[in-house]
Amino acid sequence: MISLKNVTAGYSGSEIIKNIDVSFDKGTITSIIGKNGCGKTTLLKTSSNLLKPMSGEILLNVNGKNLDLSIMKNPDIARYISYLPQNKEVPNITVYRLVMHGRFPYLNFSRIPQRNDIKIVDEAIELMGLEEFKNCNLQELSGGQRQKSFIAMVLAQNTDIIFLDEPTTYLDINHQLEIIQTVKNLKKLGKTVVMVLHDLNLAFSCSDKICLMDNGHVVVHDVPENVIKTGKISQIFNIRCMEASLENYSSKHYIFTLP
Amino acid sequence: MNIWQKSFILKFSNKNTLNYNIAVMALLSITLAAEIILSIGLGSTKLTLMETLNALFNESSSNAYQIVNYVRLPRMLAAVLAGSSLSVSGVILQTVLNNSLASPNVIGVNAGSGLFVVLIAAFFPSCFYLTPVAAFMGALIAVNLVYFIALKTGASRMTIVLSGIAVSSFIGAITDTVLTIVPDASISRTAFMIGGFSGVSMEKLQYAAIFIIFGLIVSLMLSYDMNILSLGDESAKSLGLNVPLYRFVLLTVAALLSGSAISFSGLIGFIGLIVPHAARFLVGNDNRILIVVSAMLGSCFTVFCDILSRILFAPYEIPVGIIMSFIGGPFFVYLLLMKKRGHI
Repeated sequence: MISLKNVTAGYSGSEIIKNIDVSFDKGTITSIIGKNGCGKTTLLKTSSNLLKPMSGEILLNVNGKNLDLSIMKNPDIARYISYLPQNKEVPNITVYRLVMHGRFPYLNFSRIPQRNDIKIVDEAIELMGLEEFKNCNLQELSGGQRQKSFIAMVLAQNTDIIFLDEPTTYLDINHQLEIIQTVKNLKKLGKTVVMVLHDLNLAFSCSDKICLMDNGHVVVHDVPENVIKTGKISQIFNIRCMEASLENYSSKHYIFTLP
Repeated sequence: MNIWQKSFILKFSNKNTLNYNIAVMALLSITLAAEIILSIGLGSTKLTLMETLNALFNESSSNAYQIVNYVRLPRMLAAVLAGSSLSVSGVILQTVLNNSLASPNVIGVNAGSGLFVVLIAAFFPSCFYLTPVAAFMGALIAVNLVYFIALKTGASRMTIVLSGIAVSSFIGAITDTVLTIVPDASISRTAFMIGGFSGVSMEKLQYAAIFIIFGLIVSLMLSYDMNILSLGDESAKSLGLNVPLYRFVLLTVAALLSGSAISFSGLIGFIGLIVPHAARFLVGNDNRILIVVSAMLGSCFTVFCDILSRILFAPYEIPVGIIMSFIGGPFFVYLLLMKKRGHI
């Protein structure tokens, strides 16, 4: 579990997220939603220590002990928390080498991967169904295959907490659903997944909790049904939200329209 | 992987990348060894292989001994060291600044070292042994100034190049002013600006050589971390890399390498830009391999150009910087065309 206590953060002295109190529980999927510019990515970056908070503290619960993220070293944090940015450099390397980079926090000074590292990388590639592409150049792959390769790198990092910034953006529906399925599989492995999503349907259908943000604040952080009940979705996005029941589908679905 | 690599792999290595890389390095080693022998043997006074070997290993008062040990050997070593250091400096700058246009001459490193070398020559000529240190300091100040300006103005690929051009012109103006007001500076203005190895002595080379060898070893040790850095700041930090620290250390190493080379070779341009691209064309982007291949290729190219500079119009000699631009310019255009056609 990771908890943010009264955290304020931003860039060049201007506050983007303000007095955030939120916890992401172990083995859950949380989707952060909100309008463009409301601070979703800033919250994700701050939670994963990419951005130092201006005030407040971030506590990482490891084996019952709360560790203060601000005093931990980068390689130590990288063994507990992984972060996949939305805009990534696409290096001119093979998928296998990219995924092997996920083992960087575990390599010793020689930077030579050990047998265990190779095994974990092979498993990550297999889990993402990338065996046939593992020797392909990343720049030659489609957007979906590329994103799966980056997620395989995150899997190889083998952290308890995974932050994904818009992992499904720009992908076709098939790849979107494949990535969401991977996220669900990660949950089954006991991982905590926190992701920024713009697709509300996707967010509500796969998440245990929704973190709704507006203007740098967390407005609601609750299970999807309760978030809908508050009416804040309609208010913040200026849309109408209706519940829809589909035959043969037990999970709830929602239809969003203009008011 | 480009078509050259593919055909090379099929011929030499049964599609085994490790074998392919070893084959490339072996070829470059053989080429460099042959060039080294030619570099010592060829010149306005031609020496046979036996005369060259005799002069190298048996002390005597013969002309051959004097020519080999006081002229050609230091010159060959200077070409090997300058070629490898400027090329590796280019690889580091391109990776650290995430910009394929970055190279010591483009982003102001050469200009910074040049100014400090000129300052030593103009005002402290008796302290010539401090030249490598001064060149390193100049390079370090320039590269950090460029990076700082780029950071404050957005740090895009374009702003790094533009701030490099701005810093280069400003420092170049100071250098020109110093050379104008101190016309008796113990440095030849034209030779220094074009770059070359005539007049290099072992004495001049020894301090720079120590810095270069140290810089090459450190770059190799940090090569895997450079691979991580090329994923972008956020991904690299998320993988546990201390990005600002590594960036500063690597920029320092790049400055050390190029500054040391400039201290004895002058402002050789271009090599730090084209050799890393040519090396990538051969072995791809893994910095662990790329640094080694760039160092070897840079040495091969520089020694080759130096031999040409001596024999093309013998007994006259044209500065090696001119030969490099004549060969390097068209070759770089060829690389760009290959890239456009998707072969790189």
